[in-house]
Amino acid sequence: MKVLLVCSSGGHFKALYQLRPYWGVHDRQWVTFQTSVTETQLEGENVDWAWSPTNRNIPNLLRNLGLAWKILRRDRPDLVISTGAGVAVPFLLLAKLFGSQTIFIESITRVNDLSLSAKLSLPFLNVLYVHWAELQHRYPKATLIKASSD
Amino acid sequence: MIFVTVGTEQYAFNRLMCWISILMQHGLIQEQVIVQYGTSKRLPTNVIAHKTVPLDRFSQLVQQARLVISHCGEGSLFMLEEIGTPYILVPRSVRFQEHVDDHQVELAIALSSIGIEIAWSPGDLVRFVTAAESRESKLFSIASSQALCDQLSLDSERFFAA
Repeated sequence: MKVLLVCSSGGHFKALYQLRPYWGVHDRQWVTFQTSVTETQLEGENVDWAWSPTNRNIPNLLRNLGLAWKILRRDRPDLVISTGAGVAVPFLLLAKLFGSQTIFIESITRVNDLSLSAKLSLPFLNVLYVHWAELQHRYPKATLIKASSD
Repeated sequence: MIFVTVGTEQYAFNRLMCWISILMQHGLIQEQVIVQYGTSKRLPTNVIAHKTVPLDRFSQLVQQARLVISHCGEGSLFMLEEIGTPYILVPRSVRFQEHVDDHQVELAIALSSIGIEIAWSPGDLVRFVTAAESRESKLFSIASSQALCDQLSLDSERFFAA
C-alpha cells in the first residue's frame, strides 16, 4: 500500500511523525514544510517540500494545489493521511478526485470545535479522527481516539 | 529548580506571576525559580527572569527543572510531554485578558479528565509543589499515538480488503 503523508511543520509534523509504527511499514511519500526539524527527521525519507505559510495565503494555496496535482498524478497513493493544517486542504481535495482514500487526524488541542483545515477538508474525507468525546458528539461521523492514560 | 513559563503569547499572564509570588512569600517555594515572563508586568522578586527563552535553551531548562509550571499552550504542552519533567498547566483566561479566547481553559478541562495536572488556583500549585516528589508525568501523547496507529491499521485494512 502506498501512503502519502501530508502536514505543516511544528506540532502537526510532530503528531504525524510519532505515528511511525504505522507508516514505517508502508511504502510512503512525505509532503511538509522545509525546516531544520523536518529536514533532520526526514533524512532518508522521500519528501516533497510544500509552500508555506498557508494561513490565509492565497498564492501558496494555489501553489500547493499545483504541487498536490503533480504529486498525486505521479505517485497515485492508495491512502492520504494528514494531521493538518492548511497544506492538507488542497491535497485531500484532489486526493479524493484521484480516487485515494483520505484520513484527517485532528489535533489533540481541539476539544470543542474542529480546526478550519479539518472543516474545509471534511467533504473529502473517508475518515476523521478526533481525540475528545465533546468533539465527537458534535461530529458523530468522526472516529474517537481515546487518549486515556489507564 | 522550578521553571515557570508563559510561552510566546503577546498577552501578559500577571495572574500566574502573582501566584508564584504568593507561594514564594509564604515559603512554599524555597528553591530557585526561573521565570519566562513574556509580556507580563508583575514579576516575582528573587527569581531569574527572562522575557523570552530561545527554543534550545527552553528545552534545556525543562530538562534541568525539578518541576515545570506552564501556561496551557500547545507548544509548551508538546515539549513538556516529550521531555517528561513533572509539570502542571495553568490555563490563560479571556476574563482576565490573558488570551483572545478560552481555548486554553477548554483544553485544560479536557486534559484534567485524563489525569494531567491543572492549577485553577494558587492552592492547586501548592499541592503540586509540595507533593511533587511522588509525581510522575503522564504521557498521554504516547497512549494516543498507540491508539492512533492501531486504528489506522484497522481502517487501512478495511479500505483495501479484497
